[in-house]
Amino acid sequence: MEKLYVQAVMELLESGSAIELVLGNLRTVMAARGHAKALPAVLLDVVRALELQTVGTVPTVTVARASDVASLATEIAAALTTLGVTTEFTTTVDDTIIGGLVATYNHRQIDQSYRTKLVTLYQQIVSS
Amino acid sequence: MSTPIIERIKQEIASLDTSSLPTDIGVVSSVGDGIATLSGLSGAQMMEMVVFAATEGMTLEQSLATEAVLYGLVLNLEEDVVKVVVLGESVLVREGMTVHRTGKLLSVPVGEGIVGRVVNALGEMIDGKGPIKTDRNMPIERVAYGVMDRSSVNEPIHTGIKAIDSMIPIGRGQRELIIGDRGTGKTTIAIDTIINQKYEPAEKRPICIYVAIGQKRSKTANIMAQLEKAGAMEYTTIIATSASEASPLLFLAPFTGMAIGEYFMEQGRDVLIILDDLSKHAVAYRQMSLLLRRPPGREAYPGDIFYLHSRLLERSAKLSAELGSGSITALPIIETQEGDVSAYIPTNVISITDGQIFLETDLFNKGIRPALNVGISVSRVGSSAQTKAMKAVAGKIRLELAQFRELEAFMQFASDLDEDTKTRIDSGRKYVEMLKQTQNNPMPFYKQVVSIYGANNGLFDGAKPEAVRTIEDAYQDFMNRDRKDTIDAIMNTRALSDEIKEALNKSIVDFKEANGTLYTA
Repeated sequence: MEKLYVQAVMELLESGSAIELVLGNLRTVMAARGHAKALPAVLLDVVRALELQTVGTVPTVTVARASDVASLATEIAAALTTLGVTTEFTTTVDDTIIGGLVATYNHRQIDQSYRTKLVTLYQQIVSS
Repeated sequence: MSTPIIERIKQEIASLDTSSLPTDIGVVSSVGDGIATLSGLSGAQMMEMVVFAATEGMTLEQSLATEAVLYGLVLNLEEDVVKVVVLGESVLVREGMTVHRTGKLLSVPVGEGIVGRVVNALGEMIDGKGPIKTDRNMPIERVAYGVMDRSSVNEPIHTGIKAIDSMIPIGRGQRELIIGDRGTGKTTIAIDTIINQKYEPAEKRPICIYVAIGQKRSKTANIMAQLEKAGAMEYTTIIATSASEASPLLFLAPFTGMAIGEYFMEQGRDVLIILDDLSKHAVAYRQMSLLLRRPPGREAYPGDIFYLHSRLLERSAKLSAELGSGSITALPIIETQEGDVSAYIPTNVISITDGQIFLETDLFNKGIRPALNVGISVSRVGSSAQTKAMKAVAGKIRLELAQFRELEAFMQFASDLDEDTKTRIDSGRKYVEMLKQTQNNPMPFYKQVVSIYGANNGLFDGAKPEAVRTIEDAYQDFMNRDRKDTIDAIMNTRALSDEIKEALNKSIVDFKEANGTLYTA
């Protein structure tokens, strides 16, 4: 049941309906049908679906520390050029990548993180 | 530690080689029952391998501890999404997880080192004997060789089972189905056939591949132990998928076996592949197809279930001399319910293969083992591959057994029967006794020829049917001990010349003279 509500909301948003109107109507319809209890789950699923749509479509650069954006400026610029990014990019900080960068845009990725380099080296050693 | 040292180590790490080229990525939008739906992999191909970034967000230590790479296989290309079967533990896949394309169709690493090993459906070792040395990757799905690349089946592959090698001979490159209810000895025939290959000269000995599809792990371990005990593991590879593994792995196992077989066939070698069993394979494929929301057909199997098995078994071939004369002989196994061979999957596979060995519960319970129903078992191409020696002796058995089956019903009226009928029934019973064989006791073809020739030429005359097996064992000992030259002549020439026939006739007379007590007991 939740899936059908999510599908309906997504279709309305994609067709250009105003978010306030869609949410208002959703609340009214679900209450009228006695499905009001499912509203939080439906809203959460809509958020997830919208987030999934944006994954990979917004230029993103992941670095281990915020200061790496400056120190790796050349590498970041090269990676974004390869990916065809011409607009501004979003930066995320993830210390598990240890160092280096991961650039993602339009469902393509360049992974130059230290973690991947070390894992690759480890796998080469254990498999040889 | 000083900053210069840290910076130097960082430089060392940064210089490690990883691709600076972009890879296509997708995102898991939903996952369940071993099927992941991905968005964003618009360039993916059918049967392409993808890698789940299962270590995403993990620390380096956790990433290194996660040894296995989690693969997926693209099986459905839809308008907005790609559906992928997870080739491993699907519990590791999370919504939002990144998935990387590999650009490679699913393939298995193969090489000489794979012989004697136990691997899973992805060709990874599971026997704890260390990494397998491989030469190349073979695609799991591949178009079978064409008509002009093949030659006719003209060399025998001996199973070591008298009833099969004499009446339902199998040739190298043939596909012979073993079909029967559970517990009728289907796997035993397959294992005996593998064990019997040790009697072949090393240059003619086929590489054997046993594919366990959804079998109990205890059964596979037992088979491995039997093969090791018999010294057959040194030319055998086992591909083991257990009932507890994900259905995509069960679906892939026979294709992996064929890919490994093709590697050896292309080198001009002969290969024997056992697919145990295709009933479970069909069930695994049905489960996977239903989860992929493909439309169900008869018995809920998908519409391409016939094509699944036909494209698999069509890869079994005997290659032409120009391509090295290698071969893959396939022995697929099908388990029937209540002896019903007219069910969907059995009829499919019967029509695909070049003959079938039909095993019956009734015969098994009567103590006739192998429980072969010679009336409905056939081999469509094997007779042209039979050795001349076997062909010379085997013709009479079929006739004798056919007559025996007709008269068998009258056995209960034994006292009222005429002498001729009694003689025929007695002769038939002796043939049935002679064709019985115990498990893990295959007989090389030259010994089979000696036994069958003896049965055709009075070896068992004057004996009770119950004494036939004792007499046969004693006669084989006698031949091995006192007439080794005759056995060697059959083994080397693979034919029955007049001199060999004369020697065999004399041996029968001499044996009966020396072992009169066996006939009066």
